[in-house]
Amino acid sequence: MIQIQALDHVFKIGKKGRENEIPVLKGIDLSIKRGDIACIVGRSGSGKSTLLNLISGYITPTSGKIVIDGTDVTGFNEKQWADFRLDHFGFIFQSFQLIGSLTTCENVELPLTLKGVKPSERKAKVKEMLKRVGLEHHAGHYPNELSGGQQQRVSIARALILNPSIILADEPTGSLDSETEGEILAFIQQLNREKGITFVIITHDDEVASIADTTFQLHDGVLKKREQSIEI
Amino acid sequence: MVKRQLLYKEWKQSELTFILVMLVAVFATPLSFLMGYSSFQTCLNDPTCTPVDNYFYYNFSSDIFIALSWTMGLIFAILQLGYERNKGQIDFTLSLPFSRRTIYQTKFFLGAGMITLVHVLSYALTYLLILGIQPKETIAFNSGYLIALVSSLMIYSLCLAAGALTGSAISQAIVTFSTSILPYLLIWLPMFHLDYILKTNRNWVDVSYDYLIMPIAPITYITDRFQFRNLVENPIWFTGVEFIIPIVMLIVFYLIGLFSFIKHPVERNGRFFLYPKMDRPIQILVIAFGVLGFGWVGFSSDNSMFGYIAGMIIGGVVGVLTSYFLIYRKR
Repeated sequence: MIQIQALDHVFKIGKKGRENEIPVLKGIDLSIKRGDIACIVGRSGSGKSTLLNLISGYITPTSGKIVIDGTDVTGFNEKQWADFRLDHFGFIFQSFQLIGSLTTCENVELPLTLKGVKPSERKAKVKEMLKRVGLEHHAGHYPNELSGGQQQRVSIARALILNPSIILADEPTGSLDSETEGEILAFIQQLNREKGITFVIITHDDEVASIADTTFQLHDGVLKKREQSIEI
Repeated sequence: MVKRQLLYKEWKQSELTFILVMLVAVFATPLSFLMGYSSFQTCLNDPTCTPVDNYFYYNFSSDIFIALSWTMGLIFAILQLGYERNKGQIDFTLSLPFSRRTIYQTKFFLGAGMITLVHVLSYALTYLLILGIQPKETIAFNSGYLIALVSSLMIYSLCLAAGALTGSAISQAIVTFSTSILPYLLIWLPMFHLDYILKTNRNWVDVSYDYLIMPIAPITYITDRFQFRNLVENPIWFTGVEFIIPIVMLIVFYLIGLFSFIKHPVERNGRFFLYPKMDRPIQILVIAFGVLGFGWVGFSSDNSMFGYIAGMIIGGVVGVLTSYFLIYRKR
C-alpha cells in the first residue's frame, strides 16, 4: 500500500553554494499494509510532519522512493499530485480546520462540491456519512456550536466522504481531552475494521499509538519499527 | 486556472467579512456625495449660512472612499492568506485536490473580482446620483474611480504576494508596508547620507526623489495618487504615470506571489518568512535601514555630527532588536 525506500530529506539553509544541509529524515524505509493503522511516533522536531508532508506530496524528497497503491509517486508534478490526492487521500488535522461559516452538513459536503458531484448525489452521500459518524442530528449546526469531539468527527466525515483508501492524520486527537480522545480513537478503529481504510497517524501520544497495527518510532530523522504496540 | 468550486470554498471561508467590507465600500462614495449635496442644500436654505460657492460640485479626488479603497485590497489579501495561515487552515487548503497554482490564481481572482465589483457598483450608484442631482461640476469622477481601482488592485496584488512569502498575518502586513516604501529605504536614504557626507548641493537628491523614487514606490499611488495631475490641463482624465506604473507593479507582484506560493515550504507556517534564505539578508537590510534612518532623524534634530552618529548607533540597536524579534521569533 505505502512503501518508502531509502528516503532522505534535507533542508538547506544559507547562501547558494555555501548552504548548510540539515538532514531531517535519514534513510527511511517504511512499509504500511492495506487496511492497517500505522502510527508514526516521535518528539516535536523529530521529522514526523515532514514525513507526512512527503507522503502527501506537499514536498519532494531529496532522495529515495515513495510507492503508494503500486504507483511510484516520487517524481510526480503538482498536477499529478493533485489528481492523486483526490483519488487516494483523506486528511484529518489536529485543529479540525472546519470552515466556520459552513454547517456540519456543508463542511462534509465540501469535498464533493470541489469534485463537481451533482447536488442530489451530494445530499444523499452527506446524509449517509453523517449517520455513520453519529452526527445526523447536528447537520445544521455550525462548528462553534459543536464540542471538540464532534468537530473532529465532522472533520473525519469530510475526510471520508470521497471514499479514500488512505487517511493521513496529523495529531488527530491533539486538541481533545482524554475522554474525547478515547472516543475518537475507538471511532477510527471502527472505521478501519468496517471499511478497511488505511490510517497513517502522526502523533507524540502513546495512547494514540496503542490502537496501531504497526508503530514506527522516529528519532532524529531515523525511523525504527516498534516490535509491539504499547498497551495503555 | 481558476476553479469555480474552489472559489466557493474561498468565499465561504471569510464570507461575512467580505460582505461587510463590500457593503461599506459600495455605499461610501454615493453616501458621501449625497451628504455633500444635502449640506449644500441645507446651507442654501439657511440665511445664516454662507456657501463657499453658489453651485454644488463634488471633488472625487478628495473623496474618502476613493482615497481609502486600497485598504480593501489589504483586508482581502490578509484574510485570504495571512489569516488563513494564522488559523492553520492553509494545510486544509493545500490538501485539496488542486495545484498550488490553481489555489493562488483562484484566490487572486476572487479578491481582484470583489475589488473590481465594489468599484463598479459604487461608480454606477454615484453616476445615477449625478444624473439625478446634476451638480455643476464633478471633479475627477472617471479618473478618480479608475485610478482607485488600479491602485487597490496593485496593493491587493502586493499584499497577496507578501502573504505567499510570509508565515502569518502580521508579517504579511509588515512586508506589504515595507515593500510599499522600499524605494525610499533602498535609494533615498543612502542618497541622503551621500549628500551629507559629500556636501553636495542636494539638487540631484531632490530630482531623483521626484522623478525616480516617488514613481516607483507603491505607496505613492495610495497616498499621493493625484499629485501628478494638473487639474486645469487634464480635468477629467488621467496621466500615464499614475495609471501605467501601478498596472506594471500589479503584474510584477502577481507573478512574484504566484511563483512564491507554488514554491513555498509548508513546514514554516508561523515564521516571519516562509523561505529561510530570506531571513539573513532581510535582517541585514533592517539593521542597515535602522542605522541610516535613525542617523537621518538624529541629524535632522540638531544638524550636528553628534546627532548623526548617536542616531546611527540607536538605529543599529533598534534594527538588531527589531529584526531579531520579527524574523527569528516564531509567532
